[in-house]
Amino acid sequence: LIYSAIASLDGYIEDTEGTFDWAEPDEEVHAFVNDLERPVGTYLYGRRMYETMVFWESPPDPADQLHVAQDFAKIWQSADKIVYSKTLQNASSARTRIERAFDPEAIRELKATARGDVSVGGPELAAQAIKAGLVDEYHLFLVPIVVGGGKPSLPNGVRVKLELLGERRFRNGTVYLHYRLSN
Amino acid sequence: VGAIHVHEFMSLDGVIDAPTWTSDYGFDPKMGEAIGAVTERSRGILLGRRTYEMFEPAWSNRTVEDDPGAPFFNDTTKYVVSGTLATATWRNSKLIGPYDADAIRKLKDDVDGGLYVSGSVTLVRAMLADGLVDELHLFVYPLTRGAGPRLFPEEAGAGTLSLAACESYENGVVYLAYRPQT
Repeated sequence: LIYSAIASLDGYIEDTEGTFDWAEPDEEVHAFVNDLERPVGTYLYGRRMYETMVFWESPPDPADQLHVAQDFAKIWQSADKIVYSKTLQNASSARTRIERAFDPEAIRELKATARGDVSVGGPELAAQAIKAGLVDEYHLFLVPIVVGGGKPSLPNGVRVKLELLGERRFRNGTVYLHYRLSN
Repeated sequence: VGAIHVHEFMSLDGVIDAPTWTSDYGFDPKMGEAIGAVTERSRGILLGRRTYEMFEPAWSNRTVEDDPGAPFFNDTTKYVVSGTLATATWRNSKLIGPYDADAIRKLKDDVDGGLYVSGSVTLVRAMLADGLVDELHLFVYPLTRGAGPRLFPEEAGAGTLSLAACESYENGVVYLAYRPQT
């Protein structure tokens, strides 16, 4: 199970206003993200993250989008999605199912049987998965900005030991850090 | 005019408590080179009381034979921010009183070169909130702490930075350096 997040240097995926425009990847970062996401067969989302990401089901004007955005839309559309929500009635994308509760055992099962990588998005859902010891790999992008507060990319109250697999810097000052759970 | 160079050992989730947890990872000689590049541009050391009190016994009896960093820490003037410390016994130390942003600004004006800061979480958070930090040199360790004092104070010092360095070491530590974007 892979957790991917784009966070500020002070560790927030959205600021206190709930905005994250500062986290929007530029073309270079976006192309790199696409290559990381290409092997993902199933996305696990909380409701809010799903509602953000479902944009990619039908981008408004595909022809106007950068190539990297069109590419990402295809990657996203071709993966399965599971949305964890107590309230969401209908999914507005294909290949999507809604689960009412986060069940670690079901996720273990999914990890064992899924074709392709399983990726978890959204800090609350990721926090549950990290606490349950389900996250095997981390893709963290650190944007060179301090936003002063908001939703933390890594959960409070959890200690994990990791192993660095790689790092990379981009022209816009974003840094990519790749870890896996240490044995 | 001087510049404040903050150097921290930080967990991936941004915690900079007393970094006893760093000992599991050893100290890659290249980390020493990265710090050395910062200390050689520094003409003073600025510390909070608690870090000063930890550094004095750790460094004051060491020589260059024990650790190549020893002469820098012992011979350079140490400016200590404290409202309670009455005397400073480590050689080349000056008490500059409780935290005062204007006093730090004046110190920057008076010191010709960098002011090296390490640890000193209370002082560093105050200086970040007051926009006094010119360079951040972070050794990011491959673990999360889950709780503890974090480098960046909440609701203060928001701003864009520029990345000045990014390298990783065999022990899994990543060195990231930033400057405020001007």
